[in-house]
Amino acid sequence: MRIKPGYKIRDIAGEHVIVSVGQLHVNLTRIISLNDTSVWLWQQLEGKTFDAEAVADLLVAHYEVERPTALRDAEAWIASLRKADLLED
Amino acid sequence: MILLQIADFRFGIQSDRESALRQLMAANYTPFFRTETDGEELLFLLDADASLELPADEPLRTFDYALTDSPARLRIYGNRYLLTITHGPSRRTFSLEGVREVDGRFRFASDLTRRGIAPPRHILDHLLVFALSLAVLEQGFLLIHSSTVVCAGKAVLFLGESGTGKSTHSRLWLENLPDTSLLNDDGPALRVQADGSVTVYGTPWSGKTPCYRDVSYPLGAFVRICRAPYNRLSPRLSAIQALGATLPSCLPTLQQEDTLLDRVCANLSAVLRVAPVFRMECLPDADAARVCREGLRPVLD
Repeated sequence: MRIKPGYKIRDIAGEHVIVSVGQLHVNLTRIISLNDTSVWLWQQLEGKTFDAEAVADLLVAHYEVERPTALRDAEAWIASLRKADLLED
Repeated sequence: MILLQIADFRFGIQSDRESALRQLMAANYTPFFRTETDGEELLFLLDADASLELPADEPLRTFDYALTDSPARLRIYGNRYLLTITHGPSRRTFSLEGVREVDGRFRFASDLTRRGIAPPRHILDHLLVFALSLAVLEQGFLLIHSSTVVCAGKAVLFLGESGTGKSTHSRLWLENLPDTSLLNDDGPALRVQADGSVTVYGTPWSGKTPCYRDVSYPLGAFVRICRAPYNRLSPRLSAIQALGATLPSCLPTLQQEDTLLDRVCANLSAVLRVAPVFRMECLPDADAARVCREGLRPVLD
């Protein structure tokens, strides 16, 4: 999988967000808030193909976290991006 | 030349059919007409008799939407924006082109009056909204889809999709609360001032309600209106919720490209630094206005 192209992290009102835009006068605009870890993962993985293992590798290498925990976090991160429709296969 | 001043910005429209155009605009632009320039430089001068052609190259981005019953298309070519609206069974088109010059200023041309037929007013309005918004986006200007009242000297902007009851809620304030007036019923303008404060201006764009006031007030609060079987005002929304409540009410045509969306977001950030945002779940009754007003007491009084 990979992150869909065309999305960009913006700093608005003190938050890191992804803005997904809708149509005229229809409330399809969605704001997705990212925490610092999410922003870091996004920056590492943008433009690349990856899976949960690759995300877990990054977490293990960068944060003090055990592999099983990292994999669970990676899967949760991927699930939340998928729910926000920010990933493609 | 037709000279206009909206939200303290001055611009002009040049047309061979100036008197016909002026007549068409009189209904909603009269308070914004100016007769002399008093030496002040114009933001832009729109040539309304231009002959516009589609550039040969493919646009970087195309955005299709509907302006009531008229199909509209925004084409973006780098520093050039072409907005075209197709009207009626004859499929006559009206276009406006904005080109960003190297100094960041915009040059505008349109075929609004070129073929001698007056454009429908809602199309003229839409094209002018787009031109002004592009021209002053860098200067902290945002047009907001809102029904706006003034209460205790401050502007309160009701937000929501069309049909959620923004105008109804405004009317309930006017009917039931003292010291309240309507500023604009559809498209007031916000401007972030040099000192960081935010001013709300009346505009010629007020939807179905003829409320075209050339006045301005300090921004009090945003209130997103949601229908509910009870009346309740939320606590002040968090930054992320505030963003979600306000960004959809900014012009969609300015959100189709990164350069423009960056500016919209920067302006909105500046606005949200000073203005609280609330969500009002409400019925269309007098009590809704009183509950909302009471909840805003710390902001307005």
